[in-house]
Amino acid sequence: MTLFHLYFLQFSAIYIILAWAMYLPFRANQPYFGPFYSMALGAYFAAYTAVNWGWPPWLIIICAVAFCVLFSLVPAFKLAGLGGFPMLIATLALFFIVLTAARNLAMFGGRHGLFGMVPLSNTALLSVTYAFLLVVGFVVYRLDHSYIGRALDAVHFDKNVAAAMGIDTARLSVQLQLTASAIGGLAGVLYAFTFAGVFPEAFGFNLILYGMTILTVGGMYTMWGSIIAAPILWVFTQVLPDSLKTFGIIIYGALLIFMLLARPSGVIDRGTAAAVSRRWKSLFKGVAAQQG
Amino acid sequence: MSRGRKVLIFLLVGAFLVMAMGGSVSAQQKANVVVKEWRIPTIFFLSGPMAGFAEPHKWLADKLIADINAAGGIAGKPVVLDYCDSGLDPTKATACIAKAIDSGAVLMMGPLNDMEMKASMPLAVRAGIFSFSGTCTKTIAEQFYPWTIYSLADNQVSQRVQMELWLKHEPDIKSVTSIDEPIYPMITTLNEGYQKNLAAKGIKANGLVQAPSGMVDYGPIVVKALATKADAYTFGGTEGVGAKIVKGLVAQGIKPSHIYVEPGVIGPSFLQEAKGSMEGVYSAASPTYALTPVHAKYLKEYAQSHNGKFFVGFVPVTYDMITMIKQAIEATGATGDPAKLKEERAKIKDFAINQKGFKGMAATYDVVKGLAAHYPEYFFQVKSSTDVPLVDQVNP
Repeated sequence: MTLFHLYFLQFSAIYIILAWAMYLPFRANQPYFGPFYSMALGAYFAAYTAVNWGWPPWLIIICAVAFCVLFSLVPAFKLAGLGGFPMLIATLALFFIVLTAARNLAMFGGRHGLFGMVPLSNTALLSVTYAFLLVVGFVVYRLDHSYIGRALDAVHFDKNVAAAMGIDTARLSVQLQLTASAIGGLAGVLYAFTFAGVFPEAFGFNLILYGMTILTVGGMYTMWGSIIAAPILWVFTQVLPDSLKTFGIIIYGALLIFMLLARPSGVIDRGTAAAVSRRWKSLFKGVAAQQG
Repeated sequence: MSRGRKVLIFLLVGAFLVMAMGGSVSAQQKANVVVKEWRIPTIFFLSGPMAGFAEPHKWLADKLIADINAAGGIAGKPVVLDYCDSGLDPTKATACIAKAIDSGAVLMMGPLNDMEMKASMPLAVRAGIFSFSGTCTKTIAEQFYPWTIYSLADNQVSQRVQMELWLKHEPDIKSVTSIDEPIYPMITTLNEGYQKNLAAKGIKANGLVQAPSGMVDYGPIVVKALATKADAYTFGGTEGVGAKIVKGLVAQGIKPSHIYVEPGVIGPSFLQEAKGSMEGVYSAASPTYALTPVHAKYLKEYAQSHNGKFFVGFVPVTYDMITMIKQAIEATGATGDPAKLKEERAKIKDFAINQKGFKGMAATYDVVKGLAAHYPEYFFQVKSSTDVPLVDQVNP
């Protein structure tokens, strides 16, 4: 495997994890940008503890995720009562507060960032990242197919109706926020290990735009769209012909607008996912019947 | 035979032998080069918010490569630039460097900016491949020493000398406020440096006023800056915002000669948008003034192919990098042999980080431990949208 393929797989996995972190609250119509600031927090936590205290990777991952959850717990109850546009503004503001603090505090390297993390070997980095991708994917899948997933469907349909049916929407919102922040923090740690450091520009507005595009184009209401959208969107400007490379950002924006107009639910919506699942099951049954 | 004649014959024979050896080394290298062409991975941000900044770099790079190939290539082989679009995205910059390493290239060119360098250079350092960046800041070059090069004037020296020249030409300046559009850390560092050096000269330094990018109207920023009661201002940021700030300041009575803009601001957009207000503004760069004959040649060709536009101050770095690449491959006798890749990459690195009397597009300078040394300081003043002449120069 070439280095390019390795990094392609690495960044695709990180963006899929980030997209899943956003997917959970968005499924309940909650535009929660916590995963972005959690990603920044996780990355800075990882870089700081690795460079200054020499913590081993396993300890960094556990503590970084815990730190992100605790940080998100502080505003979570208030945010749960907000929802919608106020939640978007509040979490976006938190994102920029976190970045401004990181950019201005000398202990985090200020504008230049923190470097000097002992890099993991390429094999270890990819293995750890994909192990966590599978774990997070499993967690998100199980949530989707549990009573929480059904509660999310109800809240997505109508929050008041869901509350009338006995769903504690505030508690559900807090759970979603903390889960999303934990997953976002994990993405941040993996990001820091990939660069062997962290710097403020890695978490600019482009990251939000990129994450939102993956979720929108891939599909906001299933977890499967992000798996396809993340690698394709990340790599497509790399494979464009030279004459089109300068138009990469325009093509990107045009694709986003096209998806919002033509298919707002994304490439892979609930219907598509269900149809693929049925097809897969019938194929599987057919093979089993032939063998039987 | 007289002694003098013997010495003369000895010298002539010696000179002939040296030339023959040099020629034979060159012929030897050409014979040993195993690659059919030199493919140089080139990491530029061809898309993204700053794609316009990279366009002239790409234009110049393509021109130079065409000229080099027309003259026989490098060590007798043609050169091809393998562009990789980093899109001002740290993950893509890392992927581009990964591609460069995979390709087995003996060296690479770019990335062009600090953020992409920070993201991708750790990988380049681990792989031991030299990055002919040139445009990264000194801090980054020092951080990743000895695997990259900074080929512009030392910022700290530049900040001091530029402010000294400004005060020399405008001795009535009493207090200065710096307006900062913080698009890169380097911009804010430059502005802070201006303030520090002005304070050291006894000028009242009022600190920085932030001018966020993307505002619809910069009137409030101008008002905030004027509230500091400074009689002179510096600005660091983009051309468009620079033009608005300069127009606002001049409209409120500030003399254009009491405004200094950092080199990246003086570009074709600034010279168009700030017409009527900018005449008299000072800077360390000029897109119209040719510092050397080769600079004049490419400035003219660029203007002819771009409707009379000029390229901005950092573009000559691309000329310097490509020239260094040619010299590095030829001087180290690189062959492109995959079996000798590590050794040849190391030799190129050793050549690049210490050079004497390198003839760049904008200046002749040394490279000491990967940093440009004895780079002249140029001081320009805007006369019109097509004329930003040199008014002073210091050779540190």
